[in-house]
Amino acid sequence: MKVLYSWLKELIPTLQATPKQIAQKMAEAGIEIDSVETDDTGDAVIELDLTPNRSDCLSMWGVAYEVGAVLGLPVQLPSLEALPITQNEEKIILKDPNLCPTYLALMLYDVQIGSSPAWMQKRLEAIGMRSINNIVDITNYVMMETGQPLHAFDYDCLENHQVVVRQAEANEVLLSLDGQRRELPQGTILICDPKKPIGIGGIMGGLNSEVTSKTQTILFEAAYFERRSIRRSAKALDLRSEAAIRFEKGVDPSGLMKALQRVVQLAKEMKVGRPATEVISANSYEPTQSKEIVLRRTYLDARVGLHFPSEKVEQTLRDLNFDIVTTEEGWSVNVPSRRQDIEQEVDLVEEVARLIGFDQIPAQLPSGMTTQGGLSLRQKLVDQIHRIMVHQGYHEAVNYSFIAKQDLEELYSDPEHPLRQAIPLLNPMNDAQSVMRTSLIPGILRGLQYNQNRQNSDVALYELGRVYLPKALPLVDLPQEETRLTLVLSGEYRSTHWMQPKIEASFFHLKGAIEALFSLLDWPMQIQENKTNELFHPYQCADIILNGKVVGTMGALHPQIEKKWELPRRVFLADLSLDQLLQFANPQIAVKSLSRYQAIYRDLALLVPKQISAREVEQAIVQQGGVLLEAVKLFDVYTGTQVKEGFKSLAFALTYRAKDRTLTDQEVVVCHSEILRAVSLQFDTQLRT
Amino acid sequence: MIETLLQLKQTALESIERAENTAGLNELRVQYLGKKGELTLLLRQMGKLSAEDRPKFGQVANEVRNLIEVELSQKEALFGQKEQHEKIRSEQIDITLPGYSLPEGSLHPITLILQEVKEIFVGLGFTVVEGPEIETDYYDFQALNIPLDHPAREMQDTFYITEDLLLRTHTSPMQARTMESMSPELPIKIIVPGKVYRRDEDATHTPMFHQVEGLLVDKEVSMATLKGLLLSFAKQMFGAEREIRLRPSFFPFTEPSVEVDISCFACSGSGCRLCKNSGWIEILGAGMVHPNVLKMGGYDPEQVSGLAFGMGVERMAMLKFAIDDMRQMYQNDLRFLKQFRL
Repeated sequence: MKVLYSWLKELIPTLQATPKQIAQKMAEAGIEIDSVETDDTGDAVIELDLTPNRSDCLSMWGVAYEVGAVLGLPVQLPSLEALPITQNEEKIILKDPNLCPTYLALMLYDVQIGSSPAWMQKRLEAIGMRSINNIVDITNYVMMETGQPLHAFDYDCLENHQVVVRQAEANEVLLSLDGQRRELPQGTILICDPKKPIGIGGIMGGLNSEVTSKTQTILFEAAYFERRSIRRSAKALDLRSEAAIRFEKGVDPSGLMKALQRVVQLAKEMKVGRPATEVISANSYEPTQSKEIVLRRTYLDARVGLHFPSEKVEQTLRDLNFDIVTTEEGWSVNVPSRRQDIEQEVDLVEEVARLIGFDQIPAQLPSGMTTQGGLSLRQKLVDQIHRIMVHQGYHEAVNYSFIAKQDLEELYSDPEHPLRQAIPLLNPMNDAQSVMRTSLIPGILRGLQYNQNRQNSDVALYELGRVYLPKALPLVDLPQEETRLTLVLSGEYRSTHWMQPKIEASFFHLKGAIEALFSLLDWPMQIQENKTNELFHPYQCADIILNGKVVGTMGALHPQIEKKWELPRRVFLADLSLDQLLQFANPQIAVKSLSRYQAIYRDLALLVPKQISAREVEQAIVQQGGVLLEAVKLFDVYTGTQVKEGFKSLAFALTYRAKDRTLTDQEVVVCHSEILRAVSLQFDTQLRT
Repeated sequence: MIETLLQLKQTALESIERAENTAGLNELRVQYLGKKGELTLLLRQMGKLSAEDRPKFGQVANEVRNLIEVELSQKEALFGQKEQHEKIRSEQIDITLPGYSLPEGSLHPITLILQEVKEIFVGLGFTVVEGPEIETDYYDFQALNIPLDHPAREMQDTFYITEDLLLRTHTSPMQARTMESMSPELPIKIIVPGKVYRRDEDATHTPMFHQVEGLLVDKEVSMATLKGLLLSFAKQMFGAEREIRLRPSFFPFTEPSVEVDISCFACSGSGCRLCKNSGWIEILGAGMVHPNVLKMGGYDPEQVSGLAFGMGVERMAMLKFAIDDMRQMYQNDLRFLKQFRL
């Protein structure tokens, strides 16, 4: 809303403050100011940025009341002459009183169409409206003054000289004043004559009843439209006219008559024709002028946390032009209908507090019961997982929760794949953000791609966030929101260092991070080959298993996907369900007692057939080793010229220790050779010499 | 023979004096005191002496031996020290070479801010709750005093899934959900961190962003409590010298509603680019819980009152880390991410 300073001064004759000072005071009282622009004549336009509750300030008179209240100055509006109402149900037919409960019409005869006076044109242009002709300018000017939208129809364009207000039927069309052909959504409130629509109620008039240079008689409309209906229609038509903006926020129901009285006054002043001496209404028009709201002293003090002096409270309410009566418990306040936003006692608390000033209010910490506060175990674990990932060298990524549907289709070939059942948005920003993610993988791969395209080719990223899994589509109930953890690793794991050559990222660097996660949270991790997950390299992929349940997958990205997504370097990817992991959280640390006896260390290097996994060999060692074998650690894997074809060399470091005595060499020799015998028997193994 | 002995003593002492290192000393030790050493050989000839001369010779020989040993060990100690010094000196390294460390990652700025905000409010006795990001119209709007077709809905352009299901536009639905599940228990002291969604995109808006909602419902909660609580937060988050200012505003679910500004931490209020010369920076919206919202949540607004606040996490991050384009937070460019720490 734009406010012209000189216009405001006319309404507040004692106004001394400069436009900048007014803007500052209004901002302090809660009306945001977009800009203050001064012209060379010393006049200024103050642009207000109004919150939706303050529709009363969508008019010069409303702004004058607000400025008057803020500065404690009286407001002087033009004095208007009363107009009698004639009820005429023949002339104005209201088919839907729920959507349009009131429709007032004023006739203007012997119309002289011309331009409006210079002062009016200047004011309209200053606040952003175009001057059209004297009639249209009057409707706009009065709307800007009073906040009540008006419309002028060429009376002779109305079939049978009747107005019918009704809802749009199917397939109705109107050429609106802006020259657009409008297909009217069914249910839109229309102003019609008995044969055709002549305007979209509360939004815009029709070209077929436009005021032209030939117009002789005018019907001015001042109506009240139900605000939700206007909001819906304006949105559907994508037509947010000045009228629509005011109606959908709610106009003052008692302002309709004032607006027409002002039209009569201006029409006479401007000599544009002969106004009727009465207003026509379809029904009786007796709007409520005000409402009584009780403001209790105790309530005011309790909500604010400070006792404002009574004189101060009363002065503030009077500055707002609210009539007050002092009562035993506080005040009975008469709130005029222009302030539609004030509905209950707490709204008066705000009015009083904002105008006296929030800076008066002291700062106090909460009284009452002391509460413990804190994080849940789950929340603490999630924070801990973040730290583990960072210590493992991964950088946290955050991606949008919406992704491209096509990304899922590229990753999962089966249309029935559960992860392709993503929840679509009705109104996405664009195709790349059209569905709610069912997996963190597309996002993290896009992150990898983004970096590799910018010469950040060594990438270690993780994301910890939710995916959205519908129970059924289209969505009826709230979906499951599962928290997952995804890691991606590509390029050099360690770049060249003067002490060490560079290390290329591998499956095992990724696996190490997952192992660190499980180890720090004391979860027993198991893995299992997975050759059928289409996202992964069939020979470099493992399911991650916790307590018998698959909780995630890790591996090299399938070379075909690397190709399709134009990822030039090998990509390693892990994806886990944190919700499943966190079920098995074990925050307890139980320390094992330390042995007093010495350990004996022996290495065991074995040649085993290539297809035998290290885990199988290790399990066999552990099984045979029994209680004396404290630990086994694989420390070398070798295949090369010195190892015969089809075999590999595995070297294990074994730790022997008894709980109750120092082991003798002899005991260890026996145990060690038994392990060797058992393992050789099981796997066709040979001791490497 | 004593003559020879004294001669030997003389040459031995001179050789020791001339020795240059531990190895030289070891050779001399062998030369004079070894099994076949010169002194040892002389002593073996003692039998040839008269019984009378023998004790005298023995005494002098012992003295010579002791003297040589003392000289040797003194010199040895000296060389030992010197050689150790040389060894240490030879171990000099170039301390300016880069160190060797494990790769370190980084937390996203949003997570950093969230952790800090959580820590502050946990310290003030709040618990942390989370809620669904896909919400019903009821919890996102209606239970927050925003009925269907209310103009306040225009304040937040909403992503819809169906007519009734949407992406939450704020973390405020958890106000309603928490009140419903806790009523009539008191007090409620929660914060709600999480993702929220609005159809908007420019340098200071992204279609997804993060908020932290706060709710305190108890007897005797007033605007003074709101001011005290948020002042404590502002000082912990942005520095002990910070002051706050409440400006009247509008949110349908609070009344009175306020915008909260902190005194500018870049210029301490004298005016700079960051605060657009006002001395103040807007950090969050807040207010007293609207009686209608309390009622819908199962509380009697005559008996209890509440305060609520909501802050944009990205905005805090932009302020604290001097980030100028909010969209950077969602590009995951490593050159950006690596500037943050744990």
